[in-house]
Amino acid sequence: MRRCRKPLLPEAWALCLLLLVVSSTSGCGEPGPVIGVVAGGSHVDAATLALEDALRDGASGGIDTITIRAGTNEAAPAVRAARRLADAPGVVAVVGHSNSAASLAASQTYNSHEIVQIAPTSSAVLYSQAGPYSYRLVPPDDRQGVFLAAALERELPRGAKLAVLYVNDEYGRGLRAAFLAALDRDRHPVIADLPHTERAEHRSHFAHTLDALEAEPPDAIVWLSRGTTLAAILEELRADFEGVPIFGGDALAQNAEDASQGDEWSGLRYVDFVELDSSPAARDFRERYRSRFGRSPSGPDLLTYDAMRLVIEGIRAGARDGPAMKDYLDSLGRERPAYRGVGGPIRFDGRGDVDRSYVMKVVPERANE
Amino acid sequence: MSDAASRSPVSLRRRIVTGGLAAAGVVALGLALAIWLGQETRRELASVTTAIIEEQRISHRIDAAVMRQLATVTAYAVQGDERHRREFRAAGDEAYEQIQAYLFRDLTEEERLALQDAKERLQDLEVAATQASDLFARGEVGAGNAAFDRAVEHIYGLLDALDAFLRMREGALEVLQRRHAESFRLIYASVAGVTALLVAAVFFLGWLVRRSVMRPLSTLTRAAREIEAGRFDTRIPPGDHAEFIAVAEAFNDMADELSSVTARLEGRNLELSEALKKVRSAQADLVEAEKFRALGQMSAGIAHELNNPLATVQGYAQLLSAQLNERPAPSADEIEREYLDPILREAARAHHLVRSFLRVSRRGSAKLVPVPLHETLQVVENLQRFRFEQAGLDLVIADVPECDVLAEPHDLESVLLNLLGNAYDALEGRGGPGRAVVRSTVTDGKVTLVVEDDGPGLAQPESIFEPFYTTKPIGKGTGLGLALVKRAVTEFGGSIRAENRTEGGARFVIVLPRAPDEAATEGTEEGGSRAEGARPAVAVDARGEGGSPVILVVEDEEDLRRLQQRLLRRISAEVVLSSSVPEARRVLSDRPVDLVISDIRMPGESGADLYHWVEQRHPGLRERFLFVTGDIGADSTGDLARERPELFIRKPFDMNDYLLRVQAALS
Repeated sequence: MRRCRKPLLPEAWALCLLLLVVSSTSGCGEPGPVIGVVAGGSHVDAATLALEDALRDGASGGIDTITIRAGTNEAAPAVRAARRLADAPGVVAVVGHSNSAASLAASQTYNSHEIVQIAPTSSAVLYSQAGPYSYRLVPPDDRQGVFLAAALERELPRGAKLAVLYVNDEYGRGLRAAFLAALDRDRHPVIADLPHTERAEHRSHFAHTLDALEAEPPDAIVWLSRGTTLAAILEELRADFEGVPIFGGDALAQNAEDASQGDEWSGLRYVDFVELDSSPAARDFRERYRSRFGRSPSGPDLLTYDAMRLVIEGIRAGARDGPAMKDYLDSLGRERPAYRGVGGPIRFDGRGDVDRSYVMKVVPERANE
Repeated sequence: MSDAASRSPVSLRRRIVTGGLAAAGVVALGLALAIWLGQETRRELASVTTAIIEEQRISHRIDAAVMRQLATVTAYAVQGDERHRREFRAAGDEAYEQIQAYLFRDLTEEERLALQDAKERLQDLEVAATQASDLFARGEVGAGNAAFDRAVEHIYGLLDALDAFLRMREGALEVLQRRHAESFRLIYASVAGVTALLVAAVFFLGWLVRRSVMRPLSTLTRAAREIEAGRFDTRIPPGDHAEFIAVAEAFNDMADELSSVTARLEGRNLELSEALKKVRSAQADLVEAEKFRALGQMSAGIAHELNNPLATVQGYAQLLSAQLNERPAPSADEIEREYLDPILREAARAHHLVRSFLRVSRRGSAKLVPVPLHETLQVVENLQRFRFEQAGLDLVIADVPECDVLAEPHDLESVLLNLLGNAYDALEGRGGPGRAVVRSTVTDGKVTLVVEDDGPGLAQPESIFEPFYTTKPIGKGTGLGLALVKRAVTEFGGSIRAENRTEGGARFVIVLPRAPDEAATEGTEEGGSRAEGARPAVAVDARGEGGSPVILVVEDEEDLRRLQQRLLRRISAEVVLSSSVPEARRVLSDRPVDLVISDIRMPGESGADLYHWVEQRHPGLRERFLFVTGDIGADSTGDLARERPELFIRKPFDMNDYLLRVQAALS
C-alpha cells in the first residue's frame, strides 16, 4: 500500500486545532440538565429540600435549577416566566406553577418548547387537555367536586342552605361546576352563587359579597377559591356568620396548614390530597421540612417536593431533555415501576394525571397549638 | 509508453451508469425535495386551513356567546330572575370555554396575553353583572347601577380585548399566508431547478453519448467503409473507453487478418489463373484431339468411299482407252453406255462424298437456319455406313420426314455423327452383331430424333453429358463428345436426354425446334446443290449478238484448264488460258475479257487476290467473275463465299451446271 508522505499543510493543522478548541469549548459550555421551579415561597422551599435530599442521596451534582418565585394566579406573569424558562438553555422540566390558572396559561409555552411541566397542585379540569408535556400530581377537579359534595352532605343536616363563593377562573369555575353537578340541591339548596376575582383591585367587591350573604344568611359557606383570598375576608365572615361552617377546596390547604394564620381558620374544612401523618415517609418529610425551614409543610409542599424529586430521578435515569423526560414519566408504572413519592406512588395516565385519593381536613383550633 | 497508454481505460458502461445514476440521483433528490416541500406545504396549508376554520369557529362562538351575554346582561342585572341568570351564565360558560380552547392553540406570547386579558375581562364582566343583579335584587339601585356600569365597562373591555386578539391572529394568519406564498415560490423554484437539472442531465448524457459512443462509432463506420473499399491498411485509434478499446483492437486484428488473407488469396488467385490457363489449353487440346479423332474416323470411311469410285473411274477410263485403240472401236452409244455412264456415276458419287466431308469438317457459322433433316441424315449415313458395314453392324436410318429443323447445319451433323460414333464404339467393342437405328418423328413444332442401339447400354445415364465423363479405354475417347453434343443441342433451343432401353442398349432422344415451312423451301446456302436434281439442257450455242465472248480461264492444273477450254468451246466462247495470276493480269491488261473463271488455290497468288485486283482495275468484271474451287470452306475465300455464293463453282462440277453458271454470268 502506498503511504502518503506529504506533510500536513499548515492550513490542515490550523483546521484541526480549531476543531479541537471548538469541541472542547462546546463540551465545557454545554449546559447540564436544568430544572425550572415556578412557585410560591413554601413550594420553592420544598423544591429546595428535594434537591438537597437528592444530592445527599447521591444524585448527580450537575443538575442546575432556575427558580422563579411566583405565587400569583394571574396569566401574564406566568406566561412571562414560562418564556424565560423556555429561552434558558438546558431546561428539561419545570415544576410549577402554583395554581391552575397560571399552569394553564404557561402550559402552551412549555409544550411548544417540548419542556415537561409538572404542576404539583393544578387541579383544573382543563389542564388534562393542555398537551403531552403537561403533567400534574393531583386528579382533576371534577372528582374533587364530587368528593366535596359528598362530604357536605355527610356533615350538614338536610335542608342546610349553602352559599357558594367561587373565584371566577379555571379553578373556581371548574370546581364549582363539578360540585353543583354532584350536589343534591333539594337536600342542600344553594341560596347564593357568587363569583369573585382574586385581583387585588377587586378586593373591594368582597364587601358586596358579605352584604349579599347578610341579606340571606346561609347555613354553610362553600369557598371555592384560594386561601390567600379567603384570608382577606375570613375574619369578617367569621364575625358576620358566627358558627357557620366553611368548606373549601384544595386551594385552601397551603393557608390552612400555615400555623401562622389567625384563629379564624380554626374549624375550616378543606380538601387535601395528602395526609402528612399517613406514612413514616410523610412524617419524616414533615420533620425535615420543619427543621430546615422552621415551619410545617403543607400538602402542596409535599407534592412540590415529590415533583422535584421525580424530575431529579428522571435526570438520574438519563433524561437530558424534555422528550426524554416525557418518556421517563410515561414509562412509570409501565416499563418501570411507579415512582415512590412521599405522598404515595406516582404513575401518570394518558392525560398526564395521577390517580390520588382525597382527604377532608379540618383546621385545628389554633389555641391548642 | 505514453500517458494515455499507461492510463487504465475507463469503462464506458461504468461511466454511463455512473453519470446516469448521478443525474438520476440529483433529479430524484430534487424531485424528493420538491415533493417534500409540496407535502410539507400541503400539510401545513391543510393544518393552517383547519386552524383558520377552527379559529373562525371559535371566534364566532366567542362573539356569539359574548353577544348573548351582552343581550342578557341588562335583563340579568336589572331583573335578576333565574331564567336570565341561567342564560347569562350559560353564555358566559360558552365564551369562557371557547377562550380556553383558544389558549391551547399555537399563540405568540402577545396573543396569549391578549387572550388572557379577554378572559379576565370576561371574568370581571360576570362578577360585575352578578353583583349588579344582586344589588338590584336587594333594592340598592345606586350600587346596582355602579356595578352595572362596571359590567358595561368590562363588556367594552372584553370586546376591545377580543378585537385586539383577533387582529393579532389576523396578522399572524397574514404572516402565515405570506410564508405559504414563499413556500409555493420555493416549490416553483424547486420544480424549475429540477427541470433545469433534468435538461442539464439530458444535455450531459447527450454530450457523453456523442463524445463516447457516436464519435467512436463514426470512426468505426468510416474504417469499415475503407475496409469495404479494399484499403486493408486502415486502422482505428483505441479510444478512451474499455469497450471501444476492445472494439478497436478487434477491428484492427480483423484488418490485419484481412490483409494477410487477401495477400494469400491474391497469390492463390494467381496460381488458379495459371492453372485455369493450363486447363483451358488442355481442354482445347482435348477438343482438338476429339476433332482429330472424329476426322480420323471419317477419313477412313472417306478413303474407302473415294477409292471405290476412283477405282471404277480409273478402271473404266483405262478400259475405254484400250478399247479406243483396238478394232473395231466401240460406237459412241457403247462408249457412253458402257464406259462413260459408270465413270460419270462414280465421279458423282465421289463428288457427293467429298461434299459431305467438307460440310462436316467446315466450321459452322453458329447461326441457326432451317436445315433439311433428310439431307443431314443422308450426309451422316454416307460417312458412317462404311464403318458399320466393315464391323458387321447394321445402321438403319428410318422414318425420315421431309421437314427442316432449326439448327446450325454442321453442328447438327456433328451431333448425329458423335452419337452414331458412340453407338459404333459400344457395338463394336462388344463383338458380334449389332444394330444402330436413327428414327425421327414430327409433332407440333418439334422434331424428335431418336438414336438408339442394342449394345450394353449406359453405365450412368445421368452423368453421360458431364465433361470428361467416359467409359472408353484411355486413348479412345476424350470425354468431351457428349458434353459438346448437349451444348450444341441446347444452343439449337432443343434438349437431349440419355436412357437405357428396357430391351437393352442405349437411347438418346433429341428434341429440336421445327423450322417454319417457308424456310424449309428456301434450300441451303449453296444454291448449286439444287441443280443436282434437275439438269436442264444447256444450249450449245451461247454466242451473243456481238460475237464470241472472251473468257479468261485461270487454272494451275493443266488438265482442268484444257477441260474448261473444251467445255467453254461448246458455248462458242473464245477461251484464253492462263496458268497463274500474274499471267492472268497481263492478259486482262492486254485485251478485253467478258468473263474471268479462276481457281482459288494456286501457287503464288490466289484467285481471291486476282478478284481483288480486278475489283480495283476492272470494276466492270466484278460481276463477271467465277471461282472454280475444290475448297469452298477454306480461309482463302474469306467472307466472299458467304457474301457472294453465286460466284463459286465447286469441283468436281457437272458440265451442265458449269455451263449454266457461265451463261448466267455472261448474261
